[in-house]
Amino acid sequence: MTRIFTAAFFGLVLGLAGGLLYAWVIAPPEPDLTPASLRADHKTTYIQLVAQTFAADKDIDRARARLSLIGDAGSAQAVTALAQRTSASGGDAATVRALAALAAALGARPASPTPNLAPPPTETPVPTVIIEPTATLSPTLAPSPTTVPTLTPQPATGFEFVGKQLVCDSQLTQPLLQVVTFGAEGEQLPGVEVIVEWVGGFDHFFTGLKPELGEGYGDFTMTPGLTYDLHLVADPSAAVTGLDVPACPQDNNQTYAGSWQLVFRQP
Amino acid sequence: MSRAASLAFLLCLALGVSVGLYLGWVASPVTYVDTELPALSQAYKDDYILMTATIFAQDANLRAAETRLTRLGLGENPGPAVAAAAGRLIAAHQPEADLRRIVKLAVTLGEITPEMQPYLP
Repeated sequence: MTRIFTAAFFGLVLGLAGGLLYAWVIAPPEPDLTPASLRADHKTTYIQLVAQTFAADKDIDRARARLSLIGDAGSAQAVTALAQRTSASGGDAATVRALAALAAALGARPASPTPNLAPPPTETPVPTVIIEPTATLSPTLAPSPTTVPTLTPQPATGFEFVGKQLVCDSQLTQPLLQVVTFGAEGEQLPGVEVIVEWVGGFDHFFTGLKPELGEGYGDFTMTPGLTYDLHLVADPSAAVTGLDVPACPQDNNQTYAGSWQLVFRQP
Repeated sequence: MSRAASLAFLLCLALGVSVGLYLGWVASPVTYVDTELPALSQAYKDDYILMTATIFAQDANLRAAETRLTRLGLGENPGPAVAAAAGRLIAAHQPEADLRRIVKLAVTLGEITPEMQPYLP
């Protein structure tokens, strides 16, 4: 009897091992490999391809369906993060624009209440840019009553500079050049490339890479002591010069570094 | 080994093989991770080619399109693969705009097949 059990046991173990070997190694099932199975760098390539395709056909439903194939890596937040990484690493500008536009179209926003940028002014030269603070978002911006509106002649095409506004918010840890771009219909425009120049250097950034602050929002950290010139790549005449870190008053008669918010709009 | 023991061995061997195949093919099949683009299933490869064709239809940058197709493992002569993908999309009655785009790319790469005729640029 013992011999029978022993034979049965070895038969079972041997059969199980053989079956698994055959099913897993020798003849595994034909794989249905989706983009979700791709290596991380290939997923990046795939997302970039989807963004560039969206830039060509403007079919957001199709882009969304394609991104859903790669799971969380294709979420709006992930696309935004990829746009930021691509921009920070000096990636192709067209690719960054495509990614930013796709992220904006996907509605990359946090679940909590979000800041809201009001439409650009149409009748008055004083920009009314309001960013509502939230409990979860930092930095939160509270426009100072001290506004310095300026206007430039409107170009026939491209963008016009609507105005700049001093932003005094002690919660901002660094002085920023904040740019908000609007389309002709008052909608915020992502993917607008902005060039910032100063004596001895220059840099660029795109609007739309921080969609939680607005699809047309982008910013650049200023260094105290430097003076900056700024213009939009799409319309170099949309330019602002002589920007340096502004001083914001505090209660104790001291000052702290403020920020500038610059609004551009398509005519 | 007695006859009964041999019989028990063979029966349990068959049972083990059956259970092993069930586990390996159904309950816990092989999963693939960190794969390369060329390993994608044909349907996804075709969609990749269609995306490439859509971008090409707008920017007409053949070199960029060929670079994208190379990433898909189509080698230095991606024309036949693009034509084959066009044939599958035509057979699947995909939207005409898509078919025109992929046919345009196939034709640019030097591939024309009879089923492409209605969609030639």
